[in-house]
Amino acid sequence: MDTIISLKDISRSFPGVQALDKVSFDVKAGSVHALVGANGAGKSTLMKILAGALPANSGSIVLDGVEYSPANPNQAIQAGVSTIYQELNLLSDRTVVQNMTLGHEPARSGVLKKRQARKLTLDVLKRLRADYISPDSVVSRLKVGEKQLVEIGKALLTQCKVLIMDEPTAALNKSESDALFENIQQLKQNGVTILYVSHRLAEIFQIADVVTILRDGKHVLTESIQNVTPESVITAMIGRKLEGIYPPRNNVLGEKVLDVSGLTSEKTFQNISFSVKAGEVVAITGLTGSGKTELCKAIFGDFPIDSGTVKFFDRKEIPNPTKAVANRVGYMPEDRKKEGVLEEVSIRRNISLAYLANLANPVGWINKKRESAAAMQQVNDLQIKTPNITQLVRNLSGGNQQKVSLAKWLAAGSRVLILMEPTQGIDVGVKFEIYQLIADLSSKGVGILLVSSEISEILGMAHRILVMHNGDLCANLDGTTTDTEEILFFTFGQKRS
Amino acid sequence: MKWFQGINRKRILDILGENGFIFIFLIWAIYLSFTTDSFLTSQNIFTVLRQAAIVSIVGIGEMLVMLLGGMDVSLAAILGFSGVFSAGLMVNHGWPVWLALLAGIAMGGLAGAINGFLVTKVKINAVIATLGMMNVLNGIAYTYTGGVTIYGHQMDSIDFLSRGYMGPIPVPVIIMFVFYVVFYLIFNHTLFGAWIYAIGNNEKASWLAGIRVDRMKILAFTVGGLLAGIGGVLQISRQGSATAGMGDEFLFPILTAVILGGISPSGGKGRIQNTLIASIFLVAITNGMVLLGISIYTQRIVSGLILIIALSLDQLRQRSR
Amino acid sequence: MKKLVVLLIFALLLAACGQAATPAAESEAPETTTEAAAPEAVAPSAPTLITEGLGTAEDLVPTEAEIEVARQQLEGSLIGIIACTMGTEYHSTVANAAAARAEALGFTAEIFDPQQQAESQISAIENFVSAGARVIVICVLDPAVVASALQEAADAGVFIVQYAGRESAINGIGISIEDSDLGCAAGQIASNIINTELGGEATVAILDYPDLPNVVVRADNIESCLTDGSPDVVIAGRFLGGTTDNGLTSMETALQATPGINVVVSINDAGAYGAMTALEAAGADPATTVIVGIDAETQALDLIAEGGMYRGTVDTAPAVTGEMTINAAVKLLAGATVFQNIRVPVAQITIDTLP
Repeated sequence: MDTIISLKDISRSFPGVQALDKVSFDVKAGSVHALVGANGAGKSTLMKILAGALPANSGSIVLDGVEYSPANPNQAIQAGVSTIYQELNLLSDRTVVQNMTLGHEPARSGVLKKRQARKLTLDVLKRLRADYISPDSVVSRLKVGEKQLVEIGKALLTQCKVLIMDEPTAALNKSESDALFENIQQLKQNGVTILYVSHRLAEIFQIADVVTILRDGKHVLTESIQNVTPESVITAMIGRKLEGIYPPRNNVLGEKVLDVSGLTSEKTFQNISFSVKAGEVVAITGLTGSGKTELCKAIFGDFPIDSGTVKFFDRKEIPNPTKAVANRVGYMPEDRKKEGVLEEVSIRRNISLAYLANLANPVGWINKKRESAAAMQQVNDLQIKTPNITQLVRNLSGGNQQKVSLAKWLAAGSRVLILMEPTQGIDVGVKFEIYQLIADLSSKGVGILLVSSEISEILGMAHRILVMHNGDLCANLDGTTTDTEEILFFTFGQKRS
Repeated sequence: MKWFQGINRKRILDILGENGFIFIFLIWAIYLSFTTDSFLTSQNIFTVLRQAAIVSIVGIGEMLVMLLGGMDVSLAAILGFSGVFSAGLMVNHGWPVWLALLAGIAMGGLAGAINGFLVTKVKINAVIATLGMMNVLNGIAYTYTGGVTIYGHQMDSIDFLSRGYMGPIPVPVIIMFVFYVVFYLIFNHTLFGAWIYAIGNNEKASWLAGIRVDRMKILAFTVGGLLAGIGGVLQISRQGSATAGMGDEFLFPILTAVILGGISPSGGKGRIQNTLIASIFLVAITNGMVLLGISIYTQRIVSGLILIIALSLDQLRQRSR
Repeated sequence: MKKLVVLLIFALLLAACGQAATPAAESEAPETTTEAAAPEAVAPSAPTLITEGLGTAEDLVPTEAEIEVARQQLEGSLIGIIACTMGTEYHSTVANAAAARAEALGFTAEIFDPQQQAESQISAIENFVSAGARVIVICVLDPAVVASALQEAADAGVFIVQYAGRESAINGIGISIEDSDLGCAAGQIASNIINTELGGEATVAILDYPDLPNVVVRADNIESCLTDGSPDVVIAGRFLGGTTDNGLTSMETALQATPGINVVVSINDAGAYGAMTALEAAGADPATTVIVGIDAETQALDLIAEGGMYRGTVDTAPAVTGEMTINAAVKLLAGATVFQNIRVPVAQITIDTLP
């Protein structure tokens, strides 16, 4: 196979950070080339350079035998390089058709051919097995997974030679992911080269031909997938060996810290009852739209409730965040940037935010020494990678932002934690750190409600696993005895025969 | 190597953009101190500071609301209303001076609280709600005064607020600096300040962190109203009279000072000291032009140009991102 | 970008209420006014309008017979009064005096306050027409904005009486003070005092308001009549006035540049108050300091009576103007022959001529 992209000595620095340091490797035409690395390894920077969103400081790229240095994303697309970012770039007030055909709308002498645009869109959605999405729905109404499919469809519609995908399956469920993989195979057969960035090793071994590993901005290896194993990839990524993935479960459970009874929100979830004990990890899983997300939001007061009760410890509360926080309940939302962190605020203030009132005297004067000490402790405990605690959270990588989002509740001394997809879109290294944290917290007696769509992680972590389907709580399983098959069985709403 | 990379062209643009108007201010001040005899005299500097006092104090209130991502266009009207209310009680109804002043300030706070209520509970857009408040207050002030100026010897006793001296320093200048020191501490060292910045940065995330967002917003509007009320009583002291339309003149300077000072219209960012410097800069522009003997017919052009240059530097920074 | 947009919005917002707190707007009326056709069917006998020359207040005084005809004409109908604002003393006095005069003659009159919003005058005109008004008395904020609405009203047989301006009085009467008269009167008051008390020498500041061209005419005439009468004075410059705060701020600063200023002549009283405060604070000697304003506001009259540095003002005769508008309405309704353009008398007020 010919080389389609050849990178030579690509470097790029940001103030205080050498994001890429003389990275060189080749990508073969028509291959699926996986790009992996821990947070801050330089994957995103490299992708942005290829996509024309960021210039390199030095080095050169040859695309199909021609010098390639796009000044902006549009030039990259013209040159045949399309990119699907992890942070979706959709016009949220426009329809699916308008988004997917954006920039290459079918038209004759300036007049849009709407019917054709709609047909093109439908075809792509069908190919993605996502034709349940109406081409006319407004994007802001779609769920995260559906938006991602629109992004992918948008890229499929452009005639590209190289398609860069950044964590495309992060928000997709299994059937959506499978459809995507099929499409990737199809694209590959049509000669399109895929540069695939993912943290999910299983996926990489499923679809990639070649894997390139970056660590701390440097190129570690580029190897055919047959010549590596998951263990060797992880070792290369984090620079050391990983011992046992999931830490052992804490086996000292205490009093009920969260008790939900008969909770109902019209049309979203009905009559949900369960409880969480001190030191217990209770996982909730289910398909997108099963109501698991809304249920957990409702417990924290971020979703309306029609009936039922929520008790934190012994206190019955009509949930709202202020009361929940006062009862030392913490909540790590799914949408980190929009709800989890204050991007333009320092790491210190982000960590102290929920505990700030306790760091102030009655007049409201904040003791900044104590604030810094509290933040410093979390930064050290959670190994948040930052030069100092006055950095803005915006400057942190996704995984470190996630840690900040969690650190806020650790600093506040939360006794109950509601974690929404805490490892979504996070690379393997940080993922294991978060598992370890969850285990540590539970052994300290913190009750944890873990919402996750990743079955392996709930099987590895949870004492009990609740499965939701269509707004009903359809199973309450023992985490140590159940298995993937049983969970999937309930996830898809099957009745046990 | 790393420290060196820090000092690149972008960083310089950053510094210049972040404080662009201060650079222009400095250039203007240096120019004036060479071309005029009187600009750098202590008397003239105190004149400039005294003239900046009211706008800068009400500017703090505007800053509070804009940090939350809103905008209060009623502060100038509250200023006028509080002044008229206070002067009316003093002159027409024989209230003790101090009580009339407090009542005027309290009415400002009440108007601000109503703004906050409309924005948070009734969920009206801040600009629309305060625009309504502006018209209501102007209407009441015009109706009450019938367009007639309120003045009288009762107001003589508040002269010191605007024309008194403590040692060599004019009282309004002292009042201004006291407000700025207090609010600097509030903005940077207290829960209220921390929460305002947090909410302005990301309202949803702040709410999920347990912050009482609505309460803080109402409080911010109320404090804004109180500060405008204080501006009102300072203004009636300054002009020795009260007219229904006296707030109108303040609308533009207040907003200009806060925006020039770098408060992002989307909220969450901005330094209080920059609002102070911007308020002083605005006064110094006019002051300098008078000292230079620029005809009032061309003053507008010059001041417009200076403002455009100062604001353009900010655009440079945003583009360099 | 956002900053600029926000500033732009407020620049526009301000432009909309840009005439706040400034004196009566007037401008030179075009000397030729077309004889717009009033539908003969509505008015029993159309008034004859003399377009050449300026009439006086006396010319408008109606006879008993004319009042009687007007009263019949107005039976079951009304006179609509559209002010510029009720927020300044001058404007509220004119409108209230007009309403009072109408009431005294037994007419129904109604005041509308547009609060300086030119656009709201359009709907006010339309509303008065559909309410059956026979005469609209109006202080026009922006002639261009109301032109077509007034034309429609005139076409419907409504008589227009304009005050504080003349250009919009289609098929009606325009009553206005001459800004040149006002400015000159103020300049003469100052000149007289300078010549008799200060030996003809003084350093003079003029408070102007350049946003309004007609007010600049005032300032020009202040300067020319003052220097005609006292050729030896030094003009320190023109500074922004119009409001008390502007007058105060400008004079505080002007005194830094020219500490010797001892005479201030202002295009209105409001600005002059501020100048007085600034001069007092600077320690000016009341015996050798002279402040003259225009408008004859109550506060100005009080200050003149106190015998301090506030020495004179010019009466813009708002009450007389108000009465004149109703008299003009009577003339129009009665089908009289009358000047189309009328000038309002001005009077110099000093401590000797206080009313």
